[in-house]
Amino acid sequence: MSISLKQVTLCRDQQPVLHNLTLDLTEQRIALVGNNGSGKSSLARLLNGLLQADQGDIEVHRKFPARGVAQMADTVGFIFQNPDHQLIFPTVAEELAFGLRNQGLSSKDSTLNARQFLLDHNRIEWADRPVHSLSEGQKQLVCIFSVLILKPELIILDEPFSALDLPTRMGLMKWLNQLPQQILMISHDFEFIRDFDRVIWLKDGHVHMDGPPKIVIDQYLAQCREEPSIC
Amino acid sequence: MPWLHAVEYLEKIQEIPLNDKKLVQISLYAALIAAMGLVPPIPFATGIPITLQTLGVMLAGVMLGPWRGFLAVMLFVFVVALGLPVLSGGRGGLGVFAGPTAGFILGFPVAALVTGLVAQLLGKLNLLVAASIGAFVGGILVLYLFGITGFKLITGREWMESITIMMVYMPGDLVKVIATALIAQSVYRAMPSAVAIR
Amino acid sequence: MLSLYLPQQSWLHRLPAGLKLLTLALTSIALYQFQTMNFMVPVLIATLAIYLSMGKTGLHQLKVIRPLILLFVFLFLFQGLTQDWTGAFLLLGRMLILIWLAHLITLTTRIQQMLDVVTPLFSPLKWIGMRPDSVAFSVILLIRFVPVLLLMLEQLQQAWQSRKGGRQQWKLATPLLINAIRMSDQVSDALAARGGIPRKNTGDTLER
Repeated sequence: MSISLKQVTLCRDQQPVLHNLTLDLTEQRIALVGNNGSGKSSLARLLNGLLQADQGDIEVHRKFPARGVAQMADTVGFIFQNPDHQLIFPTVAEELAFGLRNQGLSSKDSTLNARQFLLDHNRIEWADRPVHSLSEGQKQLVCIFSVLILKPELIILDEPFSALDLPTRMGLMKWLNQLPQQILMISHDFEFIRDFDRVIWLKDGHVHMDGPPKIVIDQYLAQCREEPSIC
Repeated sequence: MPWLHAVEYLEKIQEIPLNDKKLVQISLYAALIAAMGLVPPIPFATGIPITLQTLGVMLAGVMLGPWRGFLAVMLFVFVVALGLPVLSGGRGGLGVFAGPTAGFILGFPVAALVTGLVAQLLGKLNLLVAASIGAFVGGILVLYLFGITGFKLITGREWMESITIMMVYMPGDLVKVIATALIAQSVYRAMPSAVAIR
Repeated sequence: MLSLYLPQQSWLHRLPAGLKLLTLALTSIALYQFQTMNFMVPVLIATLAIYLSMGKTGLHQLKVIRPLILLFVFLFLFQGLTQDWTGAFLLLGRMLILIWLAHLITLTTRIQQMLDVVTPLFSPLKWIGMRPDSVAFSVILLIRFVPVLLLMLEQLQQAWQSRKGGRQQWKLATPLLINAIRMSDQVSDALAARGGIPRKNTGDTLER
């Protein structure tokens, strides 16, 4: 079960964003770090088909993102930075049921499954609550739920904890850690990614460093201290 | 003088004077209507394409209340006149106000006002129903009154002819009434405080 | 910045906005008053000549009537077949002239110039507690936030697509509306922290 990129190049507005990237990602917990503009968000979006590579081949858990985002949706769950930009439906149960309906379940079954899911996760009281009555951390958890309920094999998270306080981040991270899925996370929360299996440092669209968290993170922090810049 | 009565009423319900916060709210909603104009039409249930912008205009009175909704759409129309290509289809500038659909565009703010007022007056009813009726009265009856009058003036056609010609747009617009009501209800269920008329 | 203004240096650009608007108003009154080919045709030719004087970009702008072509053809035929062809030509000519002339003003007048002309008209707003320069500020705010809202819509679309949302994207209107309302709260707080809306229209300009 892995992600493989072969000589992938991506251009946006005629500017190269990712250069000839070749990676094999088989580890369970992978982190992506790098400055803004390094290409990490683009790389993440290549994996579920939101962006299409200009050159190269990508295979994700035996599926091909080149065929479009819709057919990747069952395999790859994507969590974005801002929960307010992901929550589409009025109540929590409806939000969870949305993905199920798109997978082909009937309205009735989707709602039943959504409620069951909440029950299994000790949050049945959230079912009919308006999404905007929840706290930021709770909203992000709903986003995770709405992706998890679709039983993906890979979960990608793009700086999912930016607006959250430390206890909430820890709570969500602990929650994510017990998941069986492969997780790829873009994050600056070095506290958490120290426990990951692999960290990839992207710089200007290239892999600058790739290895165990201990090494890569320390190097990255060192460089940020030596050459602070505003990206 | 009805004008003074209106001003007194607005003062009484504290809609005037416009403080900074209300002004920002009006400006941002107008920006949203403009943004919606830059997005291509989207299929609604039956496949009939609707522009998000039309929905935004109808919902202005429901979301911000009749008065601020009116001002928000006025600001939008004003900005179109200034030269921003934010009327759906990338249209804008004074040319739009010289064409046969000028009446509709000038009628937008009033449509928003009436939609909001009617939906507000029907406060006792379920929001879906109140918003549907409001959207029908404001977005169809009132808006078409403006639109048909404008059409008649610009093209010199007779009333009956103008009405018949403009009726072509009706089926699509009835769809937008339904969409408006559904979204109003959806917004209310997601965040009740976002709907000013409740 | 999104605007229909064509940055050029033509004689029209140099004319004051008020004069252009007045000319448009007078021309349109005249076209309704003098419904003869002897008046309409020269005016039409003059209009086309003005566009020609603006070069290739100018001529390209004549396409502004494109969305209306079908309607124009219909009205032209309708008038011609039910009444008279002269009337049909007059109707078509008048509509074309007015749309083209009005568009010409938009092409050759900066937004700030337009605002300067109409702001005096807003002085009665004082009576309902609005400062006349609030209008200019609202325009600035609108222009600044359209791209932000579009970005937000794009993000919502990505979230929608990532869960195989399908074609009924109109449902994104709900989160879009809610986020816009919430954003307005954040922006007014930020503004209050900066001392509120600027008193005079200084500092912020519409052109960069």
